[in-house]
Amino acid sequence: MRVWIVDDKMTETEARAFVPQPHDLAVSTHHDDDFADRLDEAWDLILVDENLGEDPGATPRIFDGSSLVGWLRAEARRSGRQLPGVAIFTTQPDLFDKEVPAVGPARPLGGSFVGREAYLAPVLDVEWLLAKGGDRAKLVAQIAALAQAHETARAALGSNGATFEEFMTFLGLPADAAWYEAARSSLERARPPISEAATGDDAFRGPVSAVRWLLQDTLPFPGAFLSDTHVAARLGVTVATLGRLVHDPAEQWSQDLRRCIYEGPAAALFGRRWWAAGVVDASLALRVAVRSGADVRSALKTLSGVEKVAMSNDKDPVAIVDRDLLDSGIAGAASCVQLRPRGWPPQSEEPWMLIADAASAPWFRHMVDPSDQKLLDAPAA
Amino acid sequence: MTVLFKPRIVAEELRRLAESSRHLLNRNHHLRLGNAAEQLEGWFQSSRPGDFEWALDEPIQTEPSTSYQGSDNAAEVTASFTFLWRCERTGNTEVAMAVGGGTNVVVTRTTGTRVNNYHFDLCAGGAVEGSPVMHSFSHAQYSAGTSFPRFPSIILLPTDVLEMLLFELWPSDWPEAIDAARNSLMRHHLGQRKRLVRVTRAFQNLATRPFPVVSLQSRPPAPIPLF
Repeated sequence: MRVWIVDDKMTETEARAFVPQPHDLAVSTHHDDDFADRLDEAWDLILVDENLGEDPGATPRIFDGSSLVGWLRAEARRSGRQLPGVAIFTTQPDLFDKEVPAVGPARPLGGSFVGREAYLAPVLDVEWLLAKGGDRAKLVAQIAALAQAHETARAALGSNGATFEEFMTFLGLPADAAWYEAARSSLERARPPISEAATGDDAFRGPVSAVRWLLQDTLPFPGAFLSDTHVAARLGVTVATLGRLVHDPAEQWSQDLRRCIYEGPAAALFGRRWWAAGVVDASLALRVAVRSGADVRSALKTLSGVEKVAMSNDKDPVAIVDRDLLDSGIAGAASCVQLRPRGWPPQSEEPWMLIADAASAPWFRHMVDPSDQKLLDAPAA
Repeated sequence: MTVLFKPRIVAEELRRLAESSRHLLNRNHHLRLGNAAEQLEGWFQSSRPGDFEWALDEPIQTEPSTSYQGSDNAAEVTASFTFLWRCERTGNTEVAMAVGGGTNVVVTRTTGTRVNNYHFDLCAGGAVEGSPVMHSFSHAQYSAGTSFPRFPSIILLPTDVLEMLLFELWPSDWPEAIDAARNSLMRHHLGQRKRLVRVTRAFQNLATRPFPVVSLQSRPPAPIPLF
C-alpha cells in the first residue's frame, strides 16, 4: 500500500508513526518542486493536512487542505487522472464546525467531525476525514484501512468498469455462507456503483467510486450491513449479550453468527459491522426454535451454548439514534418515532429516535414519519 | 393442492404493503410484517435444507375503525391479523410452494368483545382423510359453532387477505393510501391481479366438471402458479 501525506510541517520520520514500514510513504507540501511528479505516481491514499499555515489572500489560491482537494479534483478532471482516496488529516477536528453535513438537519456541525466523518466527507468532496489526535494505534489502523480499501478496489474492479460480481469480490462476501444469495440480494438493493462494460476510459473516479459508496452510503447506515445495536435489537438481546454470543463460540449457531461479522474493506473505520443477510439467517434459526415451543432466552442459550443471556426488556426493540443521528442504543418502538432524515440513503432502514429527542427541536419534528407525528405532543405514557 | 409463488416478490410486496398501511396499523406493528418478509426471503435464499413455516411472530393489530359501514358512526372495532403458511422448496431457484396454511382475522370491539373471527385456508382440496367430507383448496370460513359453511375463496395469499381487511375497515382511507403509494404498490397490485385470475381459473376449471358445486371441493389437477 502507498500513502502520500501532504503536510506543511510533518517530517517523514513523524509520518512513519502513522504509516509504518513496509508500506510506501511520501511526505511533501504543495510547494515542493516534485509535487507534479508525486501526482503522477500511483497512490492508494492521499492524506491532506487541513491547516497548511497560509492565509486565504485576496485572490484565489490554495491555502488549506480543503482548497488543495479542490485543486486536486480540478487537475484530475483536466488531465483525466484518477485520484486515489483523498482524506483530510488534521489535528483540529472542529475546524469544520460551521459546515452543514450531508446527512441530518441542515445545521452546522457545531463541533468535532469525529464519529460523523461519513456525514461530512461528501460536503468536502473527500472520501474520509481523520483526526490526528487520540488513540494512535486506532488511527494507524484507520489509515491502513482506507489505503487498503482502495488497493482492494483497484485489484477487484480493475480498470474496465465494475461488475456486480467484482463488487462481491471487493467486499469479501463469503461464497460458502448459507446466506450468500440473500447477501447478494441485499447488495443489489444497496445500489452499488456498477459501471459494467464501460467502454473506453474507465469512469472518472475509477475504483474510488466503490470505496466512497462503501464509506459514505453503505457501512454507516443500516441496510446490507448492521451495527451491533441493530443486530442486538433483531435478536432481542442486549449489546453486551451479543458480544458474549460470538466471543468464544462453542455451538454451530454462534460460529455461524460470528461469520456474519464484516471483515472486508474499511471495516476498521467503523464500529463492528455485520452482514445483515447472515443476521437474518441466524435470527430465523432462533424464530424456528421459538415456534417449536421454547422461549427466546432458552432457545438462545441452547443454540449458542452461552449461559449468561440478557434479553432486551423492550417490546418490539429497535436500534435508536441520538441527535447527531449516530447509534445510541436500543429502545422499545413504542417510545420512539421513525425519522426520514435529509440525506439518509433511501436504500437504508430509516432510523428511530426517542420521542423526547425528536420533540426537542423543530428540525427533528419535520423529519418524523407522518404517522408518528401525533406522538410528539402526546403526553408521556 | 399446492400453490407456487416467488418468495422474493411476495416479501417485497409485503414490505411495501406494511409501509403503506402503517398509519392504519397499531403502532410499530408494521415492523412485524417487515420481519415476516425478511424471514421468508432469508429462508428461501439460504442454502440450508428444510421446509419453512412462514408466520408472523406475533399477530398484528389494526387501529380502531368506525368507518367500516361507510359512515363514521359504527361501533369502534379493531382487527387482529396473523397467518401461517407451510412452505417448501421447488427445483426452481425463484419459486417456492405452499402446501397448506391459514390466515386468521379476529375482529374485536374496543370494549373487548370479540365480534367476528374468520380465516382463509389453503389445503389439499378434495376428500379429507378418506372421509366423505371435502374441502375446497382455498376457502374462507367463520369460526362458529360448526365447521361449515366453507366458502371457496379466490383470495388466498396472506398479503391479499390483509389488504382486503384494510379495505373493509377503511373503505375511504385505504384507497387514499393506495393512491398516495401508487408507485410503491404498483407491482403488488399487478401481482395480485395475476393471483386472483389464476385462482379463479382453477375454480373455473373445477366448475366445468359434472356436479359443479361438489366439484369446487375437488383437488385441482396441478399446482397453481400465483405469479
